[in-house]
Amino acid sequence: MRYIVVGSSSYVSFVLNAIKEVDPRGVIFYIDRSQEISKMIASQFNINYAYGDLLDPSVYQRINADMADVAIAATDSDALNIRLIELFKKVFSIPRVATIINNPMNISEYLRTGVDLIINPTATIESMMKAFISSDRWIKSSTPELFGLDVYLNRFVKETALGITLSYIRDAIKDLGDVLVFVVSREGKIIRDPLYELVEGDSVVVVTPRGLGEEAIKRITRSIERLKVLRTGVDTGITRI
Amino acid sequence: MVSLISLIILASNDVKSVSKLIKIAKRIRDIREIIVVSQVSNRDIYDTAKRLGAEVIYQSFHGYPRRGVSMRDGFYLSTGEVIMYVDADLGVVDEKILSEIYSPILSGEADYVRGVFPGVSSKLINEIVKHLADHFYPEIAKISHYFSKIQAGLRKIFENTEWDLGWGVELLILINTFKYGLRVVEKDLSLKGREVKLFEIGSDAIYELIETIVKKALRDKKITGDEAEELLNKYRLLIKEKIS
Repeated sequence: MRYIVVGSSSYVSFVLNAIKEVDPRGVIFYIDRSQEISKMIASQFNINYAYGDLLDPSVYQRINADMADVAIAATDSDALNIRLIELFKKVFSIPRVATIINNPMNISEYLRTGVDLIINPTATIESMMKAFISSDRWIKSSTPELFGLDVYLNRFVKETALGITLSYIRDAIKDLGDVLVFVVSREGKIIRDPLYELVEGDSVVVVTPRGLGEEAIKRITRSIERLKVLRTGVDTGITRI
Repeated sequence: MVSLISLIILASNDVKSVSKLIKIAKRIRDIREIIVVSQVSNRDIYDTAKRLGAEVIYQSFHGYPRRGVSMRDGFYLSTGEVIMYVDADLGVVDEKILSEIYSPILSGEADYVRGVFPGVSSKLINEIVKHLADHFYPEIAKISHYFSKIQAGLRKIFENTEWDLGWGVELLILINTFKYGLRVVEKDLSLKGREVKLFEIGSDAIYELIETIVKKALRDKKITGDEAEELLNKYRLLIKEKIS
């Protein structure tokens, strides 16, 4: 396959590594505004390079961009990435265009461009941080859009005192269709037994088709809150997602 | 005769000023495009500007406002032949002031016009930065202000600039403009009744300016790496001394 990778944000080397790993025979063109940077990165990865005004179509015509299968806009400017996506989609009709977002507040501007994949590195940081400092809280794991999945995780600590079984969680979402729920024990063992009762440190994993995750977690949380009222007689009124 | 001005509003936390500026700009026929670069994560600015028909983007650097990042992002979104930047907190903007800045470009009298308010320049900048800038780039000696809250220039000026991401951005734009022999005009806007909010410039910003000049001089091979390092250390101490 032919790839075009543009920009010199700090993520570029990871993008190039990934391409080299999954498609070692792929033809990669790296492009930056600076000749020095383009040359340096290209020699590091043993790939082709070009340089120039990144919004000038002639820069891409020189490397036959219309023959590219994948283009990745990875500059450190969201505004420039957005313009690049438009250029790749509208002028060169590149079938698959991906980007790496710098400021996640700009996601709606990216979505308007029709980009095929938006990689948001900050989502991973947020999830990891939440998982690191909290328990008994559902955390959305970042999975690439194209997998069509929502993955939520919760490391149970205090709420295990409620005697939650796997079937109790599954029951809460049984009307939602294909939702996968399983437990990963503290020792890393996968548990599917419906009668299994959660113990401190167990992680519950909920996998749904994309778009259904939030609803599934709402239902599970409500169900656990109900259980809490039943067991303790106290309505906390708190729903944590 | 050039047409299509892109107005880029650099917005911090002042929704009212942004809204006022957009409304004024919409009444000016020559301004065909309004872009708001939000330097903060404030959703109000985004929603208000969108509602008023402006294009909006958050600055790419997600943290504190960075002048160079915002100016660069706004430029990349723009399509105009003339690029005009206004800080939303300038506070004195009306149609006349906007016109004073862009008209000399439209009429071909100037390529880059910077609105200045004499008397509000930082003493520290004059004492420390100007001396160094004039030494390496004597062509910019006639420039009295390195920050301007309202400025406009031909697109090619910004197309060819090296984008400094912080406070040094305008210095690099100026150096670049002179390098290509383009005409820079400073427009005194300090008339009675026009009160402007000062740039709050701290020692970090002053140091950023020094760093911008020294690194540029290094790239242009006017000094060696060791000399650059020495200069930076010297100025770091000098700024510390002056501030304390």
